[in-house]
Amino acid sequence: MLKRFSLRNYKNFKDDISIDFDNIAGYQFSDDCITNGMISKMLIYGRNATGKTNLGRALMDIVYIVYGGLWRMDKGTFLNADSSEDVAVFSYTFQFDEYEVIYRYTRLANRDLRDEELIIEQKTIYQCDFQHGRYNFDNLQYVGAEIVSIERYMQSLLHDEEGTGETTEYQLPFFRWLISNVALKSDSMLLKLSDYVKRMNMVTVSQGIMRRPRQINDAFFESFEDLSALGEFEEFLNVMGIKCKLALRKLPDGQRELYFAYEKLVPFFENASSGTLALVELYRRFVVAGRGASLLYLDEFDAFYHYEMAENIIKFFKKNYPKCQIIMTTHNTNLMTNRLMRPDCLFILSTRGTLTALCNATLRELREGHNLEKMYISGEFEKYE
Amino acid sequence: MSDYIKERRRRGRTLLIVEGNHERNKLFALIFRCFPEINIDMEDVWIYGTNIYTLYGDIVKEYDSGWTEDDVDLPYVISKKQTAHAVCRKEDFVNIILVFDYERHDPNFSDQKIKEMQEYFVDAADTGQLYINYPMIESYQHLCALPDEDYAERKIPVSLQPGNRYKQLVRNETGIAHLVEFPHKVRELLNEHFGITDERVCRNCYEDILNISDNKCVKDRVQEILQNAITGKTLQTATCQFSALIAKLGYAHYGDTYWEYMREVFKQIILHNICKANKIQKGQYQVENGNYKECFGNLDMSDILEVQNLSSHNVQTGFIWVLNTSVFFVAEYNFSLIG
Repeated sequence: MLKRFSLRNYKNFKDDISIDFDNIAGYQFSDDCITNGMISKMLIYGRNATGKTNLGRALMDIVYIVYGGLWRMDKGTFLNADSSEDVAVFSYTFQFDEYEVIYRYTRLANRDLRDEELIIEQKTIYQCDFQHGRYNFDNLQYVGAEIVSIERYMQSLLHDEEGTGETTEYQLPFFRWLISNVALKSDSMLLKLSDYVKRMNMVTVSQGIMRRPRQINDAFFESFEDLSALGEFEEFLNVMGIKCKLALRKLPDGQRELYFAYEKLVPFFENASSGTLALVELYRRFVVAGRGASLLYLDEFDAFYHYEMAENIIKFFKKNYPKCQIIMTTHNTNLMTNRLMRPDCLFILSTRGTLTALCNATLRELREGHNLEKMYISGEFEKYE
Repeated sequence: MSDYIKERRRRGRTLLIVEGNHERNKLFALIFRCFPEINIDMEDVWIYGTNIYTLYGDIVKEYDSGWTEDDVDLPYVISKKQTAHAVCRKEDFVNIILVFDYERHDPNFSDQKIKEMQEYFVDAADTGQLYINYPMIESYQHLCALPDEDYAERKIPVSLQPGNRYKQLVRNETGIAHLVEFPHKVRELLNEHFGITDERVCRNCYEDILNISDNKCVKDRVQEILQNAITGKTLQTATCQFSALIAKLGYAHYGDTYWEYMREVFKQIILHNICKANKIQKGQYQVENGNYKECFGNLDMSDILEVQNLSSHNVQTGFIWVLNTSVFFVAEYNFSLIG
């Protein structure tokens, strides 16, 4: 599981900010928010423009580093505009069984890697300083990768340097190169890390499904060819409070279309409410695609939801995905309750770029009976907002 | 800047609802001066004016008899009634604290009603925390000395009524009142006795006298403070009188200003009352291992009320343990202030 994520000099985060998943207090309630001593269900609140979405993007940055591709290439300014530092610093600390694995890297304004480092149990496995051409591959044997051909990796760097400069990325991360060029043992920490990263995902529910290319919807519909899958989907909607019956039909052109099954069939996407569409998007991204997700960042996850549905979603996650680390951002203060959450899993992201759990945002000892929502609104945690 | 939203909401406020003038202008005004960390605006200390049974009636009027099942918004109930305050909601306050007298002698006394109130108002951060003073607010002065071992057993017969008779008893026995009265006494002397009529000059002298903290040359310092306000022979008399008063109280003697000295006094008062509450609730005055914080956390105001209700049940033979819980609000606000 991810134990700690820290970041500096990225977009609106000028100073260090971190999410400490293992910083839990000894509450005796809502323990389904905690898995193996780490926060697995987290809610982040914060005023508008404090960087809730940016924090999610930053957290997902590792996916791009490890797997590359055009995944979530955002075009905005990358480094903090007030900082004189020339790189953004990312650090991920994982806990895999009894091993602590730290993957750290820095990226320049043009998104190129400047440094990269892997540390397992406080031992530096390798270190790359691309800017000065200094490399240390002395400890690769600890991850069973001593046979790797460093020369070939270095050649790939040289090759790109002589390139046209049009490549979006010419410092190929050593980690990416390592996992794709070395046959690693199945219990390798490298595989555990890359597997975890592969299953990280970010969902912005308000994106809405209709804006997606047709073929994505089609793939989604195709999964409903299996009637039990359609039944599950229908049940999901019903449990969440949207009472409806669904039907799938094949159109003459071979494409599929989903319908509400009233007396007459009503096309689903053209007629579903924005709340329903948001819920479907969540289902598509999470329930279907992300069954094995390791970490999910759900931005504004309940923007279109009735408060009861938002609660139900969290309960659904807790029950069905106890191990998945789910970070949800929201403005819905109704969820700020000890019935559902706990003060060490509820966070406030401040305009200054600090992230503080409610239990650390007041001198008062927070108890189960406290009305956290009322306290938040009346300004109990104001210094940390 | 353009005024787009007309009125910006102030947050982080604490509301203190007290019964009368003494609580607001004597006790809490002094506590706020001694504990500057307590960030409460005097405007947010509301005098309710009548007793807890009237408040009970106001709540029932708003929410009917089943009010204990409701989410009572006390700031709303009171601000609606009192035109002195703009209508407020409980969301406007991070802390809501109510300070009322036990009022055993009140014709409207009802052990059931006061029990309902004490059981309902248990959370300062939500609906409010009720602090009941036994038998009345003056009990914080009912320590004969500091420390006062006899406070453990201090109680008064129910037959000691009306309230003025208790107030007289406190006046006779207190070792605290003259400390509390001191600023008022200074003010009165400056203003009435020595005839300083300019409010600003009077205020400056008052502040400076209370801020003297060096015992070596108190007299010189007093003279220095007063020389621009009082002239001639009166200056000598005034200097002697204030120096004597300061020496009697002794704050400068310890190298403290009056406010710093009183802060320690209040800590003592609070700790005495924590011990006393512990005794009433558990029968033990001494706090185990000196762990006052834990002891305070385990206090149950409803349990204490129940003991008081039982022991005072018989109007002829019953008694009330002397206990001031209103000072607990300092500990509730932040225990480290007295730790």
